[in-house]
Amino acid sequence: MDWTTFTHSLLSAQVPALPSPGVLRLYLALSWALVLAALGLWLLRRWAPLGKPGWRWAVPAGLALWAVWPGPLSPAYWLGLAFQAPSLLSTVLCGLFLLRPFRPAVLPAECCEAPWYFGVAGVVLGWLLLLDTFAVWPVSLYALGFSPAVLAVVALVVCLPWLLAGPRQPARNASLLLSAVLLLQVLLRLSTGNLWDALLDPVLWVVLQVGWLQRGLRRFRGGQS
Amino acid sequence: MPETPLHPSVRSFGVRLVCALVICAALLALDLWQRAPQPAEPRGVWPVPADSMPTMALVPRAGGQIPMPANTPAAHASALLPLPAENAASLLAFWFAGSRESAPDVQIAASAFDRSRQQWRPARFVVNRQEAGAQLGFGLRRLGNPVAWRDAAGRIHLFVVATGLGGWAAGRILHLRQVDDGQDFEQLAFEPVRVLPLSWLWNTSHLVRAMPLPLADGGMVLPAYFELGKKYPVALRFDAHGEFRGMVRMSQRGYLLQPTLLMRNETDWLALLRDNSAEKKLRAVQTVDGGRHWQDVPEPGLHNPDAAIAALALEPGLMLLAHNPRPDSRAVLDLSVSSDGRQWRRLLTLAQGEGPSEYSYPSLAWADGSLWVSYTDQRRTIAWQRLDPADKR
Repeated sequence: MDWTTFTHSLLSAQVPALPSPGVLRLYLALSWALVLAALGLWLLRRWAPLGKPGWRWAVPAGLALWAVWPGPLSPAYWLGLAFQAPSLLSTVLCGLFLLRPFRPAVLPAECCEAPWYFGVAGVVLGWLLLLDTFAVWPVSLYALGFSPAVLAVVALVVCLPWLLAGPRQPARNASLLLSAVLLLQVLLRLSTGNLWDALLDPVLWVVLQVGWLQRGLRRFRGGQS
Repeated sequence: MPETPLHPSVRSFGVRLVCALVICAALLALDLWQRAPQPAEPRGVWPVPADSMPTMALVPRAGGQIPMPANTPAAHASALLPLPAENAASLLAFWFAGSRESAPDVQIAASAFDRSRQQWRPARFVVNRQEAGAQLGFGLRRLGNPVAWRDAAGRIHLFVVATGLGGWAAGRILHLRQVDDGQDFEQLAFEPVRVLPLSWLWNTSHLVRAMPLPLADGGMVLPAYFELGKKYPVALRFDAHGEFRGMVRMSQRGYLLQPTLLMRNETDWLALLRDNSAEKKLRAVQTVDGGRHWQDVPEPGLHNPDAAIAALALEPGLMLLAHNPRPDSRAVLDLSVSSDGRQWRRLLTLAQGEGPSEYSYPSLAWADGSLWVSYTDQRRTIAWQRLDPADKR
């Protein structure tokens, strides 16, 4: 491959690599299973924190099993109809949320707190992609998500917190988590073959905004009192 | 909480920078290794063999209704696919049919025009939303607008609008592929490949309608469009195996949909578009670099009642267009001819009715030395016509 061809391949959005249909189908069921299980666990902790530990796990496990059930009896079948598959990042975050009670020493809550600017970056990226869906930008941002050059840029950006913050754990862990998501995306091409779909889905984007608003409100009330 | 001790070398910014660059380079190398080579420069090919020599005068030779599957009172949005000379059928027709448009029982129907008997075979359903949903692992609410294409190996690909939560504007493009390479129409079956990834917002609101433009590398460019609120056209590229190779937005005007591609030469293509604005005019965009960049160009001056059209460039300087010429009705369907895609002259009227009559959503194909037209007839059946060049008779 000569230098010109290499440069073209690097910059081109005309060489997407998409996930195989089999992998895609497996991911759809497993990702929704993890998301539903994490949601079930979160709701139980919030609304029934004093329940027996056994019961606390029965609900998420039941939801996960229900999601991997084939056909229209599965919630994944209908969630896929409406929302397709969740992003890789959502799936990994839900997986970590489920894993944390089992390995509290390895995954303490403090080390899983992402620096604030990751949330801001997610919110801004979501807005850019939403407006791009409605062709507001002169160049299609979504199509750039198929380009290898964009992967390289995003990989550098996700390393920045670790580079700048040094050994501080939240920044390092956030960089590590996002690098792992990028590696999974490169290896498996999930969830669609487009980098943006791997990093952010509209539901995660809404959750980030709600979290941001909650923090802002808390700070505002704290300032008033 | 105590910090996990790090290796002293990782505390240095320089070392971390080198590590980050190595990680990025490794990711990039892995990514490039997995990708297919860059596709060839996009160059269109003419659909008619050079020795066929069509003329600008066409005369009707045959026509009628394509047989419908049993118990399907509604039919719409047909698409024709010419087949090679060795096939028992001249061409295939695909459309969606059921109890009514958007009904849960709507499926994709198909029929084949038998070369020896010179008539259409009984129609059969080839795509069912429940079966496709079961294979994909997620549900499809409704099906519509099939578009067919043959890849370099002769396998047929179908691109079908499959909706999620909502109406047509919540459509996605479902890509299906022929299960085997068999040429027997009775064995024709499709399996889903994937829903094409075209937008971040739950991949919502991209649809297809018009036939693809074949490329010299065996691939094609499939015209598609976004229609949730704002409506804009998009060109999708596929390689010779039918693998998705990217997308290019064709216009930023927010009222253009259902682009139809017309080749002027190998890299100079025109797209004519349905107009959703109050002006009710046929619109046009153009590319001169094989679809990598598009620009708006002056309108061809034809009315369009916010209805689909079909266009076909047979050879340099000979383009045909099936369209509804009235600004407020789909009761008349004309066939027009042009040498440049800008100035059109009515050749003949394909169908005409009164009041609320509808002859719409045409499709054009060239097969067996004739022009074939199919169109929706009153939303109940699919009509067809075969027209011969005048000097052939």
